[in-house]
Amino acid sequence: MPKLWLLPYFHTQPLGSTTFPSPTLAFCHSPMPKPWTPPPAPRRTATHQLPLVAEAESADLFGLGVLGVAWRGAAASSAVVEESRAGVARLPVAARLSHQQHVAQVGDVAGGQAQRLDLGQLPIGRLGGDEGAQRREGGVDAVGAVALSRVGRVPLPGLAVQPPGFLAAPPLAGFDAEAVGVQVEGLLVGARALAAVLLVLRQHADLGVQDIRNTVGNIPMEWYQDFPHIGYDLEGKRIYKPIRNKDELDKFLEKMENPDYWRTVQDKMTGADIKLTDEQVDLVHRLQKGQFGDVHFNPYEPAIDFFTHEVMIHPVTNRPADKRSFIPSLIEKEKVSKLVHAIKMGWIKPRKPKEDTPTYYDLWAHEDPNSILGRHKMHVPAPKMKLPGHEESYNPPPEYLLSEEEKLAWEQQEPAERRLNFVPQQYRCLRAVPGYPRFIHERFERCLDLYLCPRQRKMRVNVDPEDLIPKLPKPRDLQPFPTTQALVYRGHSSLVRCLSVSPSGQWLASGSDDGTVRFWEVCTARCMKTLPVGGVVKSIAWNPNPTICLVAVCVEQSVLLVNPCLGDKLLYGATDQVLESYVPPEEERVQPVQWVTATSEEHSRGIRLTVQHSKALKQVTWHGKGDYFATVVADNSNMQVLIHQTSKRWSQNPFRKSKGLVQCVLFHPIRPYFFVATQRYVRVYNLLKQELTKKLMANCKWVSSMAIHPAGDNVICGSYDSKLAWFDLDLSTRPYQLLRHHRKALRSVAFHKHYPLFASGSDDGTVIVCHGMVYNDLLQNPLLVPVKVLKGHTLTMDLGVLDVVFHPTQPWVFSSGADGTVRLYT
Amino acid sequence: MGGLEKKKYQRGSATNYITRNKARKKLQLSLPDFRRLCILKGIYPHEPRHKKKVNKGSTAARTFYLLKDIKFLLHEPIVNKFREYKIFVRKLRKAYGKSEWGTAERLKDNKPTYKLDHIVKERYPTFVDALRDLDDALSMCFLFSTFPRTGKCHVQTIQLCRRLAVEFLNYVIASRSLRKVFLSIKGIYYQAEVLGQPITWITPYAFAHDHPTDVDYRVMATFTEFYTTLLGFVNFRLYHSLNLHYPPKIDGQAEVEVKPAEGKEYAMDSESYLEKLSALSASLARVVAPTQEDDVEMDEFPVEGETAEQMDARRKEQEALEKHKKLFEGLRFFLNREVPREPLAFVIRCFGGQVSWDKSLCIGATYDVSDPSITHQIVDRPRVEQQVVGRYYLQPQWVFDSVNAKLCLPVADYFPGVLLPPHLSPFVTEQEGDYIPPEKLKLLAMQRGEDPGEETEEEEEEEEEEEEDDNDKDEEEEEEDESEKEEEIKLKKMEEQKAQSNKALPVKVTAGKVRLEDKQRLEQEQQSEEKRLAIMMMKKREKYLYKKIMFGKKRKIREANKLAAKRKAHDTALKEEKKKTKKARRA
Repeated sequence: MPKLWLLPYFHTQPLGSTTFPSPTLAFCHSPMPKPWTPPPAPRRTATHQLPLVAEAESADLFGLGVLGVAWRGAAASSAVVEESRAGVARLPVAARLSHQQHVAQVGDVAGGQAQRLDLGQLPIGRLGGDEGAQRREGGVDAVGAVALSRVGRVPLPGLAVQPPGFLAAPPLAGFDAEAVGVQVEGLLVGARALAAVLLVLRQHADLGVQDIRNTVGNIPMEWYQDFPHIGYDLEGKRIYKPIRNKDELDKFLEKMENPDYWRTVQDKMTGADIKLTDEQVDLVHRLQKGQFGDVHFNPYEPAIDFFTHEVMIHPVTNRPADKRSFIPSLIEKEKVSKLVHAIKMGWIKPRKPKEDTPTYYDLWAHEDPNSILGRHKMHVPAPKMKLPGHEESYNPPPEYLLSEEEKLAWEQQEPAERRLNFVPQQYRCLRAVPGYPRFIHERFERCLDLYLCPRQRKMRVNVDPEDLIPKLPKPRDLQPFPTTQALVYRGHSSLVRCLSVSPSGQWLASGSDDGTVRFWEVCTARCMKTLPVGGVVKSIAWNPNPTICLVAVCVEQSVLLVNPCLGDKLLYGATDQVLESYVPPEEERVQPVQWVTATSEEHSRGIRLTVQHSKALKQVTWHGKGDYFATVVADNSNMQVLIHQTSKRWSQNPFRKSKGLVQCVLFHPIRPYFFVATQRYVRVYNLLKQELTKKLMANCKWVSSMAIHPAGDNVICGSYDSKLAWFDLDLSTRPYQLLRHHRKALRSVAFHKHYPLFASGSDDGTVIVCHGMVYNDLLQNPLLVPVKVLKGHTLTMDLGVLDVVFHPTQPWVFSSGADGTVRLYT
Repeated sequence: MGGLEKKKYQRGSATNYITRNKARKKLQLSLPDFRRLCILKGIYPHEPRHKKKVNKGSTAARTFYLLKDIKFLLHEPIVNKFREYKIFVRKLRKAYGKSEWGTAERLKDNKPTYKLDHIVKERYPTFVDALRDLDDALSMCFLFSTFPRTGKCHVQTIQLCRRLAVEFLNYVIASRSLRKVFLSIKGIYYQAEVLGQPITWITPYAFAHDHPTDVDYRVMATFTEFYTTLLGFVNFRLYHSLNLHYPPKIDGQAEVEVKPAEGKEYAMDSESYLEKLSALSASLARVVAPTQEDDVEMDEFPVEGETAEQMDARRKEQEALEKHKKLFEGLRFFLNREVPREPLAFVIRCFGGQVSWDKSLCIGATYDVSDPSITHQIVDRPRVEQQVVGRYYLQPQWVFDSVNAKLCLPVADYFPGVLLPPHLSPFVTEQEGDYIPPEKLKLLAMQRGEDPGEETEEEEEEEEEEEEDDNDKDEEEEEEDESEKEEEIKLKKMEEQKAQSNKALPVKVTAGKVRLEDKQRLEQEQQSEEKRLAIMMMKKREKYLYKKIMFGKKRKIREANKLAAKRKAHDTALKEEKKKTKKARRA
């Protein structure tokens, strides 16, 4: 399907004249154009003055064929021009299209200026081809203010006599010749300029110089790039491109040498260079400035009001009044009756009378202070806003300003967590203070608080913290108790696990991880004896019987009974005698342990007897009389606790069943009771009746140590969860008091034999001495007062004090620590 | 044993509370309406003491209202008005939809309105109750009066707020009840004392707001609706208590004074009247002309159980108050155009000063810059080009500081271009142990009547000492642990020394030194140890409470110390700088 290509120009021709161009003048070249068939019934429109529109139809896309131009109406045999309406409907579709295209194109290109110039109305063809219009407009065509239709009415002398083809040819040809080599790009930039060039070129055409028409139509000229010609003239002959062999150098030279280079443009249609005249350049400049093209045009002419505000005596129209203005309106009547009905039915209410009470009056004229409504009993008035402090000032004291770190911290905090909801700032004068951006926010948040926040009355605890501290007797009134560190016993190279004081209070035995037992003189801190035992000493106990000089030492799997040979020679001699006087019974009894007499070498070192167990030992403790002693084996069987009799060298297992991991055991100082501490409980057994009498709940996770009050009714338990539980056996099986005064696990606790004192040593390196008064009166509860915190041991391997022992007679306390020292506090 | 089985949650606190949704259903209101009603009636959720019981065993987060409150709302006439309004809106929409303009017009004429008078009376049975709750109302009205006349809310509301705010300011001026002013970075705080009630409000600085998008202006508008009603009634009553006209009228004489200054007529009389009022320069007309007997001395009746000293103190206080009210009496101020006019004019007029400004700045200027009787000119620019002899050129902070100090401060610190002394908050009353900035100490000394010039250095010294004392005190507490450590360290050292001396066999005998035993310190140590031991014996719960209290106290002390340290560092830095500059000058 061949595309419709428009002729780039239009002819306007006054109609109705006898000199109507004959249809034979239509140019028909090969390939045969499709002549447009006019409507079959042409109307007599001789009186119509219509612009004649030439329509061209190109058969091939490249314009190789010659265009067919048909005169609308010319095709009609009756030589009557088709009415414009029909033209619009049929043929001039193309024309209109082209018209619009032009408008669009030029409008786009030239912007507002082109609009004002009314280029669209003046279909000027590609390069101002409409010579008829040009002729008519003469020199003013650049303004283009004259509408085409109006122009059309003006008969043009000398135009009508010529057939349009001839008429068209010469100026176009001349124009083209002129326009050869117009170079648009490079010289004039901008759409307006292009429009201006168009106008300029049209002006050129006006001058009547020779014009070669390029008939290719409205096509992109790139299509002819590869051809030697650039289009076809009216006779269908090729228009050759001007010979151009300019290279860049030539161009440059031209640019440098040609003084008129700047005003030379290339015509794309013909490829020719055009030199703009002074008037044309001036016009371009004017258009670039946004001025009117016409120098003489005055845009500011005084306006003439067509309609005035003044009342005129004559009506604008002289039309007599309608009849309907004299008779009553039916519609209005209907409306009124509707309203009346609505009022009757009460759908429309009459306007309410305005209230004339003043908006504000004395509301509290008769105020009744007692008229508190029921709800006001529960009423919680909203708390007032916090009043601002110094830091909110616009010029606060310098200390209230945030430092860099504080500012950073403030920024990183959650907005809800911040103590201040703003950053304090300092301004040098009041003028410099800006508006606060969160002002509305804060007001709004206050509003939300007022109506959304649940309220509650809260009682504030207003206690003087001093009142919370219990009133205890002053430690000074509870003297004597150890207060200062008096002596340090040095010699052990590793942690000292256990201590024991001789019943006389003159000697001190200590067992350590370095595999030695050392005997010290208490008063001088002199090491009297060192007994290497070849293993870690877990526990040591001096025989409480003052007439016997014997020390039980737990080393790995055996208990060594050692005679330290200290003090009164008679005494320790007697001890040896007692031990040697043992006569083995006739029949050997089956024993859980082996009693071995020491070898001579051992004897010389002081070891008298060895009780060999099958497993490692934990603890040894003597009965008050000094004959029996009990050992604890680190085991989970029923063989954990064994009771031994020294004089008979006989051992027995008191328990048939294991009740848990036994931590330590103790004999009651007076009565035949036996205390066994497992992890959580302390069980009290009656040895005579061989039954469980009591089970004390220690309320702690892991009991570490235990001590019994010399009167025998009170027991303290230290635990690894840093608690000390005081049990009053007469009171309850639960602790009478639970002290949490140590910061770390308790390792040992001890009672004093005579004074109402007890002490506890802990991993935090302190020994806390407490006053623990037990009254004979059963109604009075024991009084527990911590009296002294003793420090001195250094922490080694996270261990502090490992054992605590009181002096039997003096208010002194010994402590052994993980730092390898034993200390005496007096 | 007979009787019915008691069911759970049918008695006790569970029946006293109602959840929000249930309340809404009971009232048959939509949520926005319910909220509006709650705002207007001042009903708020309660936090029940045993939430689980009230919540019928559930621990879900719910808001509870008192059932009594909700029952109380049931009889509220406004609820019906809400419904009427809803219907009105529906009808109007329908009329518009059908393009029945006449109907729409007619409907608009009959638009249901409601009044909040009875609610105000109900919420504040006595006038003093209303005064107590005036803070938020005033702040809100002042905020709304600064809103632009477009968008955010109705123009009428803004105008009403402005009117009420101006009326209140005029009342405060007339009654001279302003007590404190504070220029904060958020805005200007004022505190007035009306009928013995302190009323504090904040006004924003006069800049355009950048309206936040995350704020619901409808909620604020509802609050404002109530607050304007409240404030109107309060204003009425307050004006009448002073025998002033309400709506306020400018005093005849003052009006004459104001008029010639105007020059041109204003477009609308009603508008210009409000503007004249808001200029705050003219006094208000009284219903009964004030007589000279106004300052009748009140007879004093000794209150039972009041000693003579107390009475004396009271009288003194009264005198001080009277003096404070007449702080700027007889002074004539002139405000330059760069200072905020309204707050300054308000404050100066509240304390009896006369004030004027450039007449092109605002209506109501009474005298010109060139007036020779001007005593103080408030200037907020670094330099004043042409100074007139016979008046002080001061920065605006002087006015505010003087008001807060209750005396006219020395002017030297406030000259234009001078580095201003810090502006302190008058709302802070330091308790014992709190940090007091040195400027405040100076001020207190000045108020006591001491000469600040000589005192300052001593004061500073004293203060430093005090600070040190403070430090000591809290350090002691903190040191409790440290002292233990110290002892340990000492012991260790001694031991080491001993060990060394043992090793070094040639025994040296050095002359012993007499160690002075500080008895006081010993005593203190003993006491603190006793305390520590006693704390050991505290019960778990009490110990927790004690620790909490002590933690709070310690934190307070720490903060005070931090501030003091910061100040010290700042001061030393300043001093060094001064020295340097001095040296540089000498060199």
